[in-house]
Amino acid sequence: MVDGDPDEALVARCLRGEVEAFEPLVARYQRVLYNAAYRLLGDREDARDVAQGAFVKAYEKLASFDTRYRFFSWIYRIVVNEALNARSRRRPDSPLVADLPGRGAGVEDALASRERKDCVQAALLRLSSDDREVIVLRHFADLSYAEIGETLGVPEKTVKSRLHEARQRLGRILEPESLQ
Amino acid sequence: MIDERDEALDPDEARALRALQSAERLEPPADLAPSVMRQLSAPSNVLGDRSPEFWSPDRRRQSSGGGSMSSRKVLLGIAAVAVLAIGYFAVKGFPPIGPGSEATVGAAKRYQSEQISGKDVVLQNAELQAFMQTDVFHTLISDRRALKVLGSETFRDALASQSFRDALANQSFRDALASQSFRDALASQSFRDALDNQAAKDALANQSFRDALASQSFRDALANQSFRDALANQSFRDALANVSFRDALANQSFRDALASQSFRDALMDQASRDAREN
Repeated sequence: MVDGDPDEALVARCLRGEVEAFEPLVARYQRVLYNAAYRLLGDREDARDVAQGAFVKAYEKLASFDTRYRFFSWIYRIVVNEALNARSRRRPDSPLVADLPGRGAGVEDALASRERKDCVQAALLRLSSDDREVIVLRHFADLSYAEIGETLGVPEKTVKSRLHEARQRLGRILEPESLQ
Repeated sequence: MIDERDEALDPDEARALRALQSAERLEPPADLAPSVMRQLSAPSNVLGDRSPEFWSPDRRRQSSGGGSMSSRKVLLGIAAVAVLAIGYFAVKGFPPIGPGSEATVGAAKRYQSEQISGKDVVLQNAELQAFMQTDVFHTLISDRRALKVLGSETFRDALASQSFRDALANQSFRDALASQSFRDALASQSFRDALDNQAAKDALANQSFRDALASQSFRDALANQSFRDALANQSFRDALANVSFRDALANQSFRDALASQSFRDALMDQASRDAREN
């Protein structure tokens, strides 16, 4: 069953010229990469653009993929690079950071309402790229610490401490006072 | 996913974890995967299947860093986009289209401009097919910069102009595609009309001219025959390289003055040009 083939087998088939072997890879990772792109950029259309561009670029550059590493780690880096490029191409009048809920909108209220989604995304976008990335990988790409470590090229221990600090900073941003 | 290892060590982290746990997980757009696959499949549909050797990993690895493969894919991608542009155009009206000419293009949705495949575009117009056989077309799809503009509506609209298509044969014209002001200028009918003028096409080789295209007044001035004729004059084009002259172009009054016949006549005057250059 093609869909069940491991990544490396699908990559090998792609390298032999079987374009269709790339399809299971797209199906396998489109959700997580799209979500990661969205959380990095805060815009669904941009996220779609980036995810799509990353898949195409990955296919084009497949020959340069080192099969000793996970395919996801590799294509995730492409997504991050594409996201950075997309952000740099944004128009000056295009806000990078979505508006947080206004004065008086307490975090508990916001968390209990639809605004909560916007609140989390806006807070994420206030984080540094490093903080945002490690949170995205853990909580939106659902990677283990080991996988995050491989993706970011840092030891698992570093992932844990970085994630903890990033979440602390995110939590401070989400404090009611900071939302006013 | 929150598991036992994601334990909050303090209230801040607990707040973050609660928020992250409840944050929305988006479903990717339904057509994301098909769009990707269409893009990957499009090149072979457009330019025909490659030999097995072309796809060989050994062949790709032998090339410098896989660049050959990438370049080919880029070129093929450009071809796909170009076919879309022309196919779209066939729908919108690509003169002259004879009886029986048909083209089928999917609904205009965002990002689909580069996802079209040969299957999606049925070109039966002999002229279109002939254009695709020309050196101009092949030169165009070999130009990496052209990729960025081929999918734009402005470009597709501009393709309606015979002078525009003819101008694509001009190296300066293709070079100018890299200029944002030039691409903006393509939206101007007067500019497209000006492309009938050989002097205007030649002037595109002049960076100052391309820079000046950023000015709407300048583009409007191109609608005037005497102004276009002035472009045939090397001194005039040289004047565009003159800082003072370019500074003057940035001046609204000066640009407004370009709309004046007498002023443009003055530009044609050699003494006047010399005076400005000095």
